[in-house]
Amino acid sequence: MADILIVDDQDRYAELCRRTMPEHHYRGPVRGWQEAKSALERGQGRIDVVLLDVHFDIPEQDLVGFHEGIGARELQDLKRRQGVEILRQLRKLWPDLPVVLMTSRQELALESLPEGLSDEEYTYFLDDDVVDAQTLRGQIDGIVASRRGREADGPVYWGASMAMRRIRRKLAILARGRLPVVLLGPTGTGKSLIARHFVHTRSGRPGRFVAVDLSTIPTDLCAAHLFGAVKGSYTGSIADRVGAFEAASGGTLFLDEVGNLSSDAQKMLLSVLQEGVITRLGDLRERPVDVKLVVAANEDLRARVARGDFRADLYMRLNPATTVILPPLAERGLDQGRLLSFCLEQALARPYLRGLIEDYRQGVGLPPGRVVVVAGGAVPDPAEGVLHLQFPDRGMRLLSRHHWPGNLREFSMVAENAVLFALSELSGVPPGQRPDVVQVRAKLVRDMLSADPTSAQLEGDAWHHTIAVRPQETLNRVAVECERQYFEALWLEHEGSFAEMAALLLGDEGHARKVQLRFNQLGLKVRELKAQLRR
Amino acid sequence: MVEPVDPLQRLPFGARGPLLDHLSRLRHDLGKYVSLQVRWLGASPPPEALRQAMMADLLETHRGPGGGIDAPTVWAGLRPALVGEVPLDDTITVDLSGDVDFERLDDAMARISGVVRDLRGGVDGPQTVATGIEAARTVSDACRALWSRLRGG
Repeated sequence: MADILIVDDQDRYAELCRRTMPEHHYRGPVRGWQEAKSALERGQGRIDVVLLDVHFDIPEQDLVGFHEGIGARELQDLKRRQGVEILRQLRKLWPDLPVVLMTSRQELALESLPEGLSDEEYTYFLDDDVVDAQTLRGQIDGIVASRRGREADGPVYWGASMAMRRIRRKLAILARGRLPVVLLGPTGTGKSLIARHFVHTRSGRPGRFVAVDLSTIPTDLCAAHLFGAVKGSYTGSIADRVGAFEAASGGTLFLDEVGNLSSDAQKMLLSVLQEGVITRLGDLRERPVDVKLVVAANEDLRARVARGDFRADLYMRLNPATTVILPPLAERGLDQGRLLSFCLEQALARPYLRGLIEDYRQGVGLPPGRVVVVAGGAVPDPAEGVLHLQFPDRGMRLLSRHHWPGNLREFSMVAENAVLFALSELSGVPPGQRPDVVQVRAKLVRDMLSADPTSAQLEGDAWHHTIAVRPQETLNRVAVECERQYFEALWLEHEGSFAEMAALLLGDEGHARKVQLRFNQLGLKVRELKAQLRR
Repeated sequence: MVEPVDPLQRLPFGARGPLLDHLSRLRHDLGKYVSLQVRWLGASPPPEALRQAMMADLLETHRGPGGGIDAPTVWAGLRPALVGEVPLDDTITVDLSGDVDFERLDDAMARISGVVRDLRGGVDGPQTVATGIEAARTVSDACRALWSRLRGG
């Protein structure tokens, strides 16, 4: 079944479609651009196809392109090609939504569709000026199958925007080549996810995927971690060590936060890229490695080169001409409902949320089975073993209005937390509700969106922390979260000076390295905090 | 043997634009809707569905705020500007009489007028349905042919 929006100034196509193709769900007819835009916004990405008439005989003020002083001929022309004008507007907001123009290409041939509107992947025409239901049904089925097939190519976080489709195509090509791939983009945009699940899987390489977050490795251990070491090569080296390059040989090595590489490690990396061999620390033997290298950074590496923080020759070896910049979540044309399902499916694969769900099922007497996320709209009828997690329309609107500065990571956390709290608030089935439906109230979504999980505010002489504590959270987890926020606040307060932090925490500036190590263990990243400092 | 004159090739100066507008309206308001529902049914539809579709096409070819308008009435509003009875655009007058597609259209509309009279008189047997459908298809084709020829030329 397809979800179809009909944009037409007459009722006839809508009537005919409903009568002769009742298997689909129809919206409309809507009479012009403004109504179409509202309907598409309400559709929240659920609309599969738009059937768009071309000739619109509607009030002048409703015509796209109408202006005071328009001549009679020009007005006629505007009405005759109003569908094209509507398509032009629609493409600015929904670049990839399939649209069937209810006329033949031949009829429009000389109207010269503006550039980008005639992309055959998304804009379709009738075979003839007038079409029969059977032909249109076949066309719609083909469009829907193609659209769903494209979506099946990759997880929903890719989104449907033209920009993301281009990035996918580019990455698919880069993945197969031998040259390194550079991924840039703000935090939480899924660089690691894409390196692991897209670049590595398409590289055709049989070896492992190995990821190294360089922001969490102390500078003096970085070389050993990447290139390996022989016993005794540095203090505390009690055995031979295989580095990340060797571990990933034949596969893919993902270096996150590559801008954090020390100058020594940069030099060694350059050598590996040039020669295709590594030498473990303290060893003389060269070992060949064959690695598909993917590096990521939050900031443009060119800026680091310009500042002298990153070697220009290494930068050039990283194949910067093909750098892929991942746009923030808000710019990906994402279907929030599908993204919600995706994130919750991921969360349900982990024991914690899955356990809570099973507890709830047992508590209300539901048999084990699937969990289905209902993103807005009505709750489906009960089905054997299905538990519905329902996000109401209002909650979905809140999600779609949020700007997601933390991108995919933030979305995923909000989704998971909202469900966790919804479950924790329940004690049995509320009166008048179905046991197979867990409602995630809009208020809960709003609370999750307004909470800043990393906030620690100085009030008077005391730090005031706000943390979200999950049901059944361990004390250790709560303590670590408090500690993380405290470290973050201190780092910002002391503008990144680990020595000052050490003096405060341990009474000795000389313990800066210990503090830095703990800072890294807590998952804090200097680069992200530096961005906050700049703000 | 004398070659037939093609009226579309001998238009008065400045007539092409206004005529193209008029033919565009003709193609949309009459040519598209006079056979829309019948063609929508595709090949071999049930006879009753075909009869109802044909009646809807011919009796409610145009739908306005005041209700349905039949095909002959739509044609009556468009035809005078095509045979020089009223100007197309202020001062410009054209006459397509003698044009092969226009004559085809005019003849088919005459047949449709007869069918509409029959339908309004309660005559809606298979012969009436077949005549209406054939004439409506001819009207659609002729409207499109006129518009395409002028546009292409």
